[in-house]
Amino acid sequence: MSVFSELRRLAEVPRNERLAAAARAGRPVIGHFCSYVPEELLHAAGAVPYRMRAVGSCGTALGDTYFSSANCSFVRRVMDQGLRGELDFLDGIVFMNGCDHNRRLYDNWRHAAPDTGFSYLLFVPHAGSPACLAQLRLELVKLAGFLGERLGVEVTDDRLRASIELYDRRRRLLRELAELRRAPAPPVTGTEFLALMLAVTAVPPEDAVDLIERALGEARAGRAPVGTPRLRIFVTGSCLEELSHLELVESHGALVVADAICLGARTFDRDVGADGDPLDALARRYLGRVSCPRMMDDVKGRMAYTLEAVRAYAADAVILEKLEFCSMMSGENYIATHELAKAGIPALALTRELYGGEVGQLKTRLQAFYEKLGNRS
Amino acid sequence: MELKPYEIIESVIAGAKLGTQVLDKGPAAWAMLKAVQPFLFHGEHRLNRAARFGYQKVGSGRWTPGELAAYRHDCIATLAFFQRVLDARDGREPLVWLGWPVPVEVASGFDDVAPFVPEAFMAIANMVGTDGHVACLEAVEREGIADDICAMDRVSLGAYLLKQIPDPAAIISVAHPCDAGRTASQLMEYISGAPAYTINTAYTKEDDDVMAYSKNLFEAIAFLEDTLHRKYNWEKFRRGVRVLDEQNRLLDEITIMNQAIPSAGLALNLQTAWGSKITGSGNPELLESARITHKVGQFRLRHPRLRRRVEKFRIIVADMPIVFSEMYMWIERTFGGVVVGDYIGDAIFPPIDMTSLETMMMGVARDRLYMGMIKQAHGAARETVDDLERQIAHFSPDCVIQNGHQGCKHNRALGRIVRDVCRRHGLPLLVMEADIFDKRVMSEAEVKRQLTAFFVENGFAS
Ligand code: SF4
Ligand code: SF4
Repeated sequence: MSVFSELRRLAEVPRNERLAAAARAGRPVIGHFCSYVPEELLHAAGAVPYRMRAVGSCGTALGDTYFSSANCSFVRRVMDQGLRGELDFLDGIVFMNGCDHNRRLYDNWRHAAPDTGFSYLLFVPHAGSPACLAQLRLELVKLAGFLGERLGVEVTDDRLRASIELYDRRRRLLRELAELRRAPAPPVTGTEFLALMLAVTAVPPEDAVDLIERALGEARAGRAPVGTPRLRIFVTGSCLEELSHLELVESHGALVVADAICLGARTFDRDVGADGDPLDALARRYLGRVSCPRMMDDVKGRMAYTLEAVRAYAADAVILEKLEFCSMMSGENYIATHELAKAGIPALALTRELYGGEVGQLKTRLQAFYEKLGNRS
Repeated sequence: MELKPYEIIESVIAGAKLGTQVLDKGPAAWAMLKAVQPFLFHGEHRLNRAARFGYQKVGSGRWTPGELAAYRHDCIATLAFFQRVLDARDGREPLVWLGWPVPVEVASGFDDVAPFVPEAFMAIANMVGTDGHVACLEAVEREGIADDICAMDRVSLGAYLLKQIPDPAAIISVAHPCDAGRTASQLMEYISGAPAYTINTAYTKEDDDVMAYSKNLFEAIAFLEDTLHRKYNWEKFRRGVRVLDEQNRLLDEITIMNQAIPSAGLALNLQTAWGSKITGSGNPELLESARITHKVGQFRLRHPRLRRRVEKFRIIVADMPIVFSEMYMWIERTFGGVVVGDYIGDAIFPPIDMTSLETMMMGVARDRLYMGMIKQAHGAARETVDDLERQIAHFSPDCVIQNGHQGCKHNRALGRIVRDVCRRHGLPLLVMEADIFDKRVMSEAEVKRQLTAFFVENGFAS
């Protein structure tokens, strides 16, 4: 069986047998939100980091008893799952101030107290200045102390270095696979790549490395699931986990060849490295990798990243993905639309609800956009 | 509504000039403001559009001569602040934009730099009538920027797009208090193209966090020195911080006087102090305003019967108050309900340690962490909830009002927790779905209708 089928299966369920096996072996499973939470720290404390998602969610009815209709559907769905007891395989969650909705998810979680172990809120600065690096280091010291106490495993420099090495390896492998998508007939579709990202952030990192190596093996063996696509697409945005949505984007002969999303390049861009103090190195990597719109002083960096990726992956167009009420993406999309227009790169901004039902409308917009692109060339 | 370039700032300057002249007249000013009440109190119409907001700013004809005398000093500070902005536009000195939670001291400590706070437009756009806010919002909508960003930030953006704000020589942005501010800062930087530095604030009020925040402030000043090729005047900074500390001591006591039963009833005055501090912290005029307001409070405490006549029930506004139209005086006059504490006007500030520049800078950083809206919004919900619990314990309210301001995503996510707190204390809670700046979401008439229904349902009015 192709590893891509296994990855798809792992991506489509909130919990899996690899996670269960790790838990049986005594490793706590710790959920975390956002690609700014250093998984290395959780791992060094003996845990299996689990990237939170709304996969398998059945709606927002219970989540809506906490959040208003002006809050993002991602947090409403995750809250709903928590209240239904669907996340009781977790031994704790590290929340983060990624956005205001996520920050308040922590507060509502504490108030509702579902059976998911501890709740911790990590504060990550919103800029990359020297003062911010020092601030993040301070926060990481606090988190390491908390985890050490809660999980009974001291986060020593040696343990942290070992975890950093493992996660750097995972990042390198992911980058290698991503690079192969530059080919005229890419060996993985965007949907497959997202499934892989969902899978490898939901299993122990040791397993993740093995899965990615197998995927790389298949990719290098000349795989080309859709041949040469008619249109090559670059996707950017915030929370994007719906495989069905990417399938829609990849209709009409289009293929996603690269991205700047949380479950994508933001996770594997740039290594931590083995030099110097590991907490300093973590702070540098997490504030230095390709940023997301929450980082206030790096608009130019993000735009440069997009333009360079569009060139390197020979993308024909950019799709800007936003979940309804994600204010950060509202500002970002305005800037990106202007910058892309200046560079002569066609762009389409899509707003959706997570697992929302607006398929018909999205389909029509995509089709019109692709037709326009097709007519240009 | 068509706005001429800088029309809003020019209206503010004209209004502040007029206000200063009228308020100079002492008790005669009070009589004049009473006399025009029938024309300006009930609703906005074509004839009173421009004057009504200024009138609301001076208490809608319900402030006493003492309160008016205090406000005269805010007027003087406002006038100086905005005049300097127009002078900077004309090339007299560089203009630096500051995100509203940025301590203004970062720029006002220079001798020859004009500070400006674009979000001031939330409070001043109404100087041309409530359509002023709408005109700014529509400019942003025309530009294709999504309306899920808080209207406060969209108003400032719109004001810039409509040439109401002069171009900056530099921008100091800040990571507080919310996503809206964070994304709007990036938009402002992008559209203006000015060099910028971002201050990352503290997420708790603990010492190590405040220390980290204050390091950002030092870095911001160094950035401005480099960018503008000017030297910061640390002696001026010291003087301003002394004034701030003294003003804070008075604001603390005014807040405590509001806790008395009957209350000194100065929540609206504290709101004014909140706004004035954003643009003028360290200005001796604001200290003078606080001194007079403090005296008014003391007088009221000595003569409680004067207050008891109006204080039929006590209200806490646990969210941003409506800004497009002033409601507190209307509630007081119509129902005898007194807003005793609110989200931004409740002003309790810790004293500032004056021993060194570092401790003073930490004091300034801490001061802004205790400022309304930042105080509740900057970290985990316990900052909001503890504050509400403290207000409930200290202000003895009979009910709580939350505006449910549309753009404020983190507050909108706290509805359940706030409801549970109120329920635990047996306090009726009204949650509205208004926008504090955008009357198109809910009109003044509808806000008043919902307030009336709430007061009647809960037995505060018949
Ligand atoms: S989509 Fe935006 S608003 Fe929603 S959780 Fe992600 S970053 Fe926050
Ligand atoms: S009202 Fe809320 S969303 Fe608007 S600026 Fe204030 S904290 Fe931000």
